[in-house]
Amino acid sequence: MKPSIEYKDVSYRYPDGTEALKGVSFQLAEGEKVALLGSNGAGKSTLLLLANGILMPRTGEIFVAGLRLASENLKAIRQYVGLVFQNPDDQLFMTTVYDDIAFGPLNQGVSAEELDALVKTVLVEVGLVLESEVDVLPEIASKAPQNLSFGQRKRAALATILAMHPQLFVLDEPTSNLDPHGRRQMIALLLSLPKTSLIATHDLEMVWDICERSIILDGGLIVADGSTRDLLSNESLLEAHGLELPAQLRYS
Amino acid sequence: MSQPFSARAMLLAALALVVSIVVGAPHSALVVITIVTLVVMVSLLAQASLRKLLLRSLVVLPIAGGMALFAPLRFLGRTAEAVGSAVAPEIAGAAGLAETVQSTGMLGSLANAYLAGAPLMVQMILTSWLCVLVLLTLATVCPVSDLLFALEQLRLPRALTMLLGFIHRYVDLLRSELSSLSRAMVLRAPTLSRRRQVLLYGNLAGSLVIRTQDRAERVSAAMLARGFTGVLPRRHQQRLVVADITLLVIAVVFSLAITWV
Repeated sequence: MKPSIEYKDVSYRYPDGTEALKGVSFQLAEGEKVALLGSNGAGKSTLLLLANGILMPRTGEIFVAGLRLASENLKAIRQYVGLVFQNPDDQLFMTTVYDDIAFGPLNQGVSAEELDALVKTVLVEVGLVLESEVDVLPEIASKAPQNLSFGQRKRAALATILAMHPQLFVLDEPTSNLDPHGRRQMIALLLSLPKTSLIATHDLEMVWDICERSIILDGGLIVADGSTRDLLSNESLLEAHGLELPAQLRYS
Repeated sequence: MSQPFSARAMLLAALALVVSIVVGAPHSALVVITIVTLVVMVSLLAQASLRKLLLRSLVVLPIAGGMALFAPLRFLGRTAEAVGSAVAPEIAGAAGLAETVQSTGMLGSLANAYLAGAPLMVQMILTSWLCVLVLLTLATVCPVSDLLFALEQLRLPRALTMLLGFIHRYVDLLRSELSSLSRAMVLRAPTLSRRRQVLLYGNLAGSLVIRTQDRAERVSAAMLARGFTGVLPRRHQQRLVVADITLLVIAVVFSLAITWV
């Protein structure tokens, strides 16, 4: 299978001198769901921000669907890669859910006439609206993001990216701060995504359920890359890199 | 809260009313009562809380009152006739200004100026309060997003409406961050003197600025990730319907009446 995204010896250093990534190389095949694991400060979020050119690598190269990450390719790359931030308040910056979902498609050139249908579709996809309720524009679309619950905001944030029809989903901590019910709903939603996904998370139970492959980052380096079952079965590896297998998985 | 008219029509109607309130001052009691009645009717129609609206409108009083304090100074050192001609005849007549303004030294002159300027002060405060009341009614019955969209349709630069949108979107988050910061401070220093607390609020303001900058960077990244290239996308234009045009006609007629009454 051809790679959806490929990191080749990528390094990144923040202006304050923090070396976030040190020569990272890996590739994701189309259709793969890969987890990015690691303790806080391991470089996961930096790696995600590099995926669609929010940050540019200091050294090394990134190829997205065969296109080299460079300023002249950013438009095409940002259409291909959909990045969902950890905190939905960073993702939802417009005054209504509708405007937030419409922001990406309008930038892509979707006509205003098509927007209503698109907004309804993605709201159904993320489960914020029932399919039977979409004859008129749902009420939630006109709500201000700050008036939604945290779980709803998380799903609305995902909807803003789904509306852009990306081929590669890059998600930062999709289940963080969710209550158990919200978490289960989010996992079901992620499972239903038929796309290539790169998911940075601490939620190893979710990784076990969703991702067939995992990459462990520590101190800006890839320390393990392999099948999720193999990596999560290796307790000493997890422990050595600041990860902990949940009790539910340990005794299952 | 239901919205009987489009935001654009309501915005235009409110602006017409505000202009007529400013241009038509000083107002008779009849005009004031009519405007307040109109505000009450609109808020009832939109099922908005009238009490909240009136209370909020009082916010303008200290500001308008503070500015109005300087207004009577224009009468300092003027003769009785000059004061009489500077103030609208009906106000001057009602207050009996020509008889009260006399030159009786510096303090007396100041007292006389304030006596002469009192009706003007009241009119300034009243005019400001009526304008704020009308604009607050607009902001209460129209969702902010609709108002911003209406402003865009009235050719306000998109960058400005986006900026206003960001302020509206993030002001609550900013407030909650400030309250959690101050709570954390108070919890760790329960015996702190008020003076020290005030000093520490300076530190909190600094932390808040840094947090705000961090968030601004993340929001900017989120915008870039969704294809933002510096040109803000625009939604389709909405046409005014019959109800909107009716509202506008009524607003214009009403405003002209206020100006000329």
